[in-house]
Amino acid sequence: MNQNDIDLIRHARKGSTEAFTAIVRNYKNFVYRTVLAILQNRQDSEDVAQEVFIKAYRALAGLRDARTFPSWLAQIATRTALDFIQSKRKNQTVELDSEKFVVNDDIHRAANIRLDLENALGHLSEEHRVVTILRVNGFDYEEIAQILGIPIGTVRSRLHNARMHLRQLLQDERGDNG
Amino acid sequence: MSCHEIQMYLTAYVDDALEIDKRNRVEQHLRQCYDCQALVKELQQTTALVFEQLNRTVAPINFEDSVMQQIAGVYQERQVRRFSIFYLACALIGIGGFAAVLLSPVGTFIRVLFHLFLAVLNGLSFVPASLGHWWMVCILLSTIVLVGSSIFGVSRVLRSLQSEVVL
Ligand SMILES: [Zn+2]
Repeated sequence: MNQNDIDLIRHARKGSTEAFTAIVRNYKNFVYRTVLAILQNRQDSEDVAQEVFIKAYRALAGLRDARTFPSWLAQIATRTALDFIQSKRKNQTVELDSEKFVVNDDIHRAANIRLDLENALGHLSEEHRVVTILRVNGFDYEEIAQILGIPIGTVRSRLHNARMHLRQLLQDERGDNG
Repeated sequence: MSCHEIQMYLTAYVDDALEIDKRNRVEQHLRQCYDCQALVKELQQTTALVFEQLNRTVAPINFEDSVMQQIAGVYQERQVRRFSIFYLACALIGIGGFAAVLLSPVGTFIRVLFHLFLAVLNGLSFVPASLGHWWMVCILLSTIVLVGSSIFGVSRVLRSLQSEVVL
């Protein structure tokens, strides 16, 4: 995180909308990527990623230290995405979506298109997707533990299991395509 | 340590997230175990691939605009709330201040003044009635005097100005 971002956050905290626009510009890919990795659905992810920024805007005054902004934002993003899955599950529309995914998967396989990694990530559990995307976003193990409020040992084992699973998926894919 | 135990740490090893003593132990094991070496290589490849692929994801076009539109709504909502709180506070302070003044000794004084003012008004309203039709004549006369004196004054001023210009 550079000094420019820290200044932007300080200005946004004082109420500058221009500064917040710049923050959105600088962090939109980070937030969208995190949410998409968890939700595995582009349409929902766009809405949820927007919601993340609205929440961040509303809560920005409560952020004590501007330097902790990335982990703070990542925490909002993961919580909002996980809450979204929860509420969707309650409304039971998630069934429909997973069906859609199976169809998608079949189309991919039928057309012999290389199974891309976004879909590979979709084969992991929520917990594994969350730790993996946080790691991809450049957080270290301790930061991930803080963001998720879990012990560092749990982070280590989840990341390891996720990575082993991904390795397996990539191997299967190579095997399938000859 | 056995291969199984070592393998639990290999992802952290690849991510360079092990404490120095654990890393030393892993490295010691790797020097003599080809299976674990192979796994490290695979994990490194997987990690590189996954990171590269996921980092390629970018937010949709117009994402920023949609967010800022919603932010503008939130901002307005917040301003409205702020102003209404401000006005409410002002109104409360005004009403409170007025009540305090009325209840204090100053209030008594103001009330007395107010009654006096009302009494004077009341008294004045009786003046025309008591004078009968004479008050109309009084007003007419004083108007004539006022108009006459102002015409006289204005004409004198004009004459003095003219004489200055001639000189
Ligand atoms: Zn071994």
